Amino acid sequence: MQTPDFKGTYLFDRLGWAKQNLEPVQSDYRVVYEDSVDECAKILVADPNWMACALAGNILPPVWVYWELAKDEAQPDFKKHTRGYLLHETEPVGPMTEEEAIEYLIQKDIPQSVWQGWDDGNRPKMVICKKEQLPQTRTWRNAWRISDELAA
Amino acid sequence: MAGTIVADDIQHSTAGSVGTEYVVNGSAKAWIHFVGNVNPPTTQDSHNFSSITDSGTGNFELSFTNSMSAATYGGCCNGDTWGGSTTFNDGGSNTTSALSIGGWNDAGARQDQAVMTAMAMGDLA
Repeated sequence: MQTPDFKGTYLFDRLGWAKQNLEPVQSDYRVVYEDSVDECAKILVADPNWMACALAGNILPPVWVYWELAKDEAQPDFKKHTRGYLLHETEPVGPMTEEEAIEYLIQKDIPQSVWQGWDDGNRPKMVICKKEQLPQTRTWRNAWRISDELAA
Repeated sequence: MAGTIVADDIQHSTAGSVGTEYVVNGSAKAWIHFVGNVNPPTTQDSHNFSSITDSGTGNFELSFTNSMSAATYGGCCNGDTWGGSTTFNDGGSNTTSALSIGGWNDAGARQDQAVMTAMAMGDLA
């Protein structure tokens, strides 16, 4: 379905249109990452309705908009967003492939300290894989780390 | 946007009226229903979330697509697993971009739950 011209439309309204008109897309990709040596590996799973928006295009704002809002929230005196208009008034990004959507999501929902230097240390801090490559049960979930096999 | 109706009140023929600010302020701005005890967790249905981060047993972070205005929004959640369980919103960890929720069993230990639901009430950015 062709996405309407949403330039200047509130993001929440665009998401409402997508919920009514787009079929959810379950991605097989998973992003495994470690952001603390004291914690187990975390797994990012894309939301099916969000993925449908990413593939359709012209709904989601550019990812830098989220970085700007994150900068604002990181200020010590932050109480409330005053630049929410960036979500609504910035021209939406066009259609993405599933792989491009996962890259966008990494930059939106994973800490920058992880994805900016994901391969700087002795072992990778982040791996994109297929869900079949993960353990099939959650036994010992809190002991999971990125394995050499998954990182290869 | 086409089809917009601007009104301050909605009136029922017999049951009275309500200000539309109650509708705007009282509606959930994000909601999700997911299976939390499988690997990886699977979203059944949702609105205004971009991802689930599985941070460990009974520990999930739900990221918004349209961020909330402030981190002081109301988050509520529910879980359902045989043997009794509870799910909490970890309000102190909420940010404008993500809602943190956790599942616990009766003994007070973290527990993944078969059905996990969550919603956020408050103002959008």
